[in-house]
Amino acid sequence: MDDPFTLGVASGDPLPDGVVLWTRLAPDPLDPFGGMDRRTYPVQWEVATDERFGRVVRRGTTRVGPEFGHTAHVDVRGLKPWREYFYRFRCGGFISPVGRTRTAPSPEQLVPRMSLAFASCQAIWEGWYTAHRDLASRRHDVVLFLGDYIYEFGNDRGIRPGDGEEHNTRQAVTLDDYRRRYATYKLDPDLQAAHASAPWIVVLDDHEVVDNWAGPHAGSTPPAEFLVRRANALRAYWEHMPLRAPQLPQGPDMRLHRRLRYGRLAEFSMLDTRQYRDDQANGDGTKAPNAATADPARSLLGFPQERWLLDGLTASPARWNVLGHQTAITLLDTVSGPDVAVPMDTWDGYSASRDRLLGGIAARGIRNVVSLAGDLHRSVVSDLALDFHDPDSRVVATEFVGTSITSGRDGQDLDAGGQVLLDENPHMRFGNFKRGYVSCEITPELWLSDFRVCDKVTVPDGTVSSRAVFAVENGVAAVQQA
Amino acid sequence: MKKILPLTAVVGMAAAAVAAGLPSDEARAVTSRPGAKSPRSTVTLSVAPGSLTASELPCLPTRLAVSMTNTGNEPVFADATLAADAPIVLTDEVFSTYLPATDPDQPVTRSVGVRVPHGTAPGTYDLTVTAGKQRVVVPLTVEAVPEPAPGTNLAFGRLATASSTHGNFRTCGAVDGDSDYRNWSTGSGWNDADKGVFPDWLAVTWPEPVQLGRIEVVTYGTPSRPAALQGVKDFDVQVRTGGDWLTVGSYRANTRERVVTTFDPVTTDSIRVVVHASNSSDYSRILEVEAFAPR
Repeated sequence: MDDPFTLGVASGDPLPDGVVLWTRLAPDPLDPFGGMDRRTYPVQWEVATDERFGRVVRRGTTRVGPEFGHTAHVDVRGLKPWREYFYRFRCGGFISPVGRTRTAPSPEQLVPRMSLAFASCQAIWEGWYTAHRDLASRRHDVVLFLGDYIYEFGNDRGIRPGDGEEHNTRQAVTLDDYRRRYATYKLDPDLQAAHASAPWIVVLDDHEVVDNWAGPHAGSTPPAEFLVRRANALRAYWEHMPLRAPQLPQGPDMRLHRRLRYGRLAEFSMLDTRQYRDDQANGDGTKAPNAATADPARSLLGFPQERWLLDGLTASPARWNVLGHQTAITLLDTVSGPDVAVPMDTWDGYSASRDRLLGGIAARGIRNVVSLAGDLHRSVVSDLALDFHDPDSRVVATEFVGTSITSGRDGQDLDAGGQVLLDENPHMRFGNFKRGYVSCEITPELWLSDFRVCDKVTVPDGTVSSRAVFAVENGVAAVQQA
Repeated sequence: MKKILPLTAVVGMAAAAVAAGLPSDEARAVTSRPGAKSPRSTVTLSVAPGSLTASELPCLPTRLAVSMTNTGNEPVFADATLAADAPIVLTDEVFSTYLPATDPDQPVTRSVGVRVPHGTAPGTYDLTVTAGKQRVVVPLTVEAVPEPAPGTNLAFGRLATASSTHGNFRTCGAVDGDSDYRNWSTGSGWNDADKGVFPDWLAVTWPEPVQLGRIEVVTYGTPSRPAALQGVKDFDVQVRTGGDWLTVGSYRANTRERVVTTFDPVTTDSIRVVVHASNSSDYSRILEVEAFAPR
């Protein structure tokens, strides 16, 4: 067997006493079975407090088999809270790269400071993962990846195209298609470095399955046929992400929304805005708000998840209540002048859902809610008010939408569409159309979001710099530029 | 090389693989529910058509439809593996999918391309599809490529490559012998994948050099939305001689559907259309490229 650790390592979903460790055996990663035969293999793992593995604190063996594409998901427990650890795997005489991870604080602990990065949307053919390289170098305490990790589209094009073989030109539909797509993306050394730098907490958006899917709906595909594709896509997603057993899909269904606590400093409510949503209103696209978008019977999260979210926020003992999800809650009026046109795919297309969330936050007196999202391929900072059309309306939460890692190529500082958004949406405090990610520093009294942007992603040696820093003070939802 | 530590026993608290308990030795079909009975016998494999005929023309569609159907009560994930006698090449060696347990049964199908490499001797070759204990063999009859009759389109079925191809289209659609605009949406033409990015190119390549004197390019246009609105606008027609690209036709502000380029006879192994702009500014759309020997 050749080196099976071609796709790197990862860790995720930190707990005070544990973390999930991930790797995949794939000596020939673009082969449908990763170059593996159909047997099950033992993989040894170890966790140490030092990078040289002089002080190993946990070790064991897991068995990986073909039914999950020879991926390993080790749910390590017995670790100490809020500690840095290093981990690696061994199989067939090969040793994997070393990953760094960190456990969450204990439930009662109020740690003085934590760092967090969030990112999304990494179409591989659109450019280089320079932002991931920068993210990796900062060794955050945790990384949130908010969707569009892969794209179902063919990748035989663009800045760094795959070849014209049929599996690169067609859309991913089958399990072998999605597995190969993950392998294609995970071969990237900067992405591997980002995974190895910190534990990730992941949720998916549409392109892990298919563009703008909604529940059992995807374009004109009959639901029964789409659900087969969805099952294949979710299976491959679970296989390739550092997720626990409760997230393992059952057919086309996957329990992805979940809460992760960082002691008394932060609680992360990771949301799923795809599986339970009603179909996009008025045929999707960008439309004027209408009866369907305001229909209280429609939901973006589905009513059980809406209740789960508000109840969780209400019970949270944490200083910062973080929503990790896919797309903007803020109103996004995209046209100049008195007319209003909003995306049907974001919370704008489900404004009754948004009203229930923001209204619930206000009514229940939930403080320090910070919404982190992606999807838009642009950086957007907004005050989330009860009524976006009333400048005096109470601000009840803060939203940071991070731009894409690559999707949309280089972009620019402020494009015409971004200027319209700033002009038409006074609750929006900042917009930027470059690629990058957001690096946050969180203390009990202050949240800082640093928008790291790339000068170019269409060249391999782009550079990353801080474009703007925004601050939220404890108890004051309205955002301020730092 | 790092020192390899002996990793033999679990130290301290046990760590469990989340997949523990699944039938990990079952290679071919695995239930989605831990502990469920092996569903091997419930997956039915079918392959269509029962036999195939092909030549080594690389762009003539020769495909197999591989279907798996779950006839049991439990949903399963299943794998079909595909193999072909050398030197035949299949686009897919594996087809893995979820198979729901529905009533009526719901087949799940993967279309697999069959490629006959240049130099394949005429004869019969077996294509073998296996799922669990089921095995289906489809005989492929390879025929020699007929000598082209005078006036034949020499690009028909030949190797087509492109700078990129949109997921709803096929590069080979540009050499499929179908230049009817009404079939555009069925994949009978080439549409690049990079919206608003130029230049794009589409090439046709022969395994042995051919002599050409005329190339016809058909871009997409319909009676209601003619080429002037969505066809290729600025483009060059080139032939490769001695490794260099020679421009034999250069067009700007084109509005015609079919553009005929005639030139002094040239021996070439590849031709291409390089598109610098389209009339809709978004995509390059070519229904067909045809190449002819000198008259």
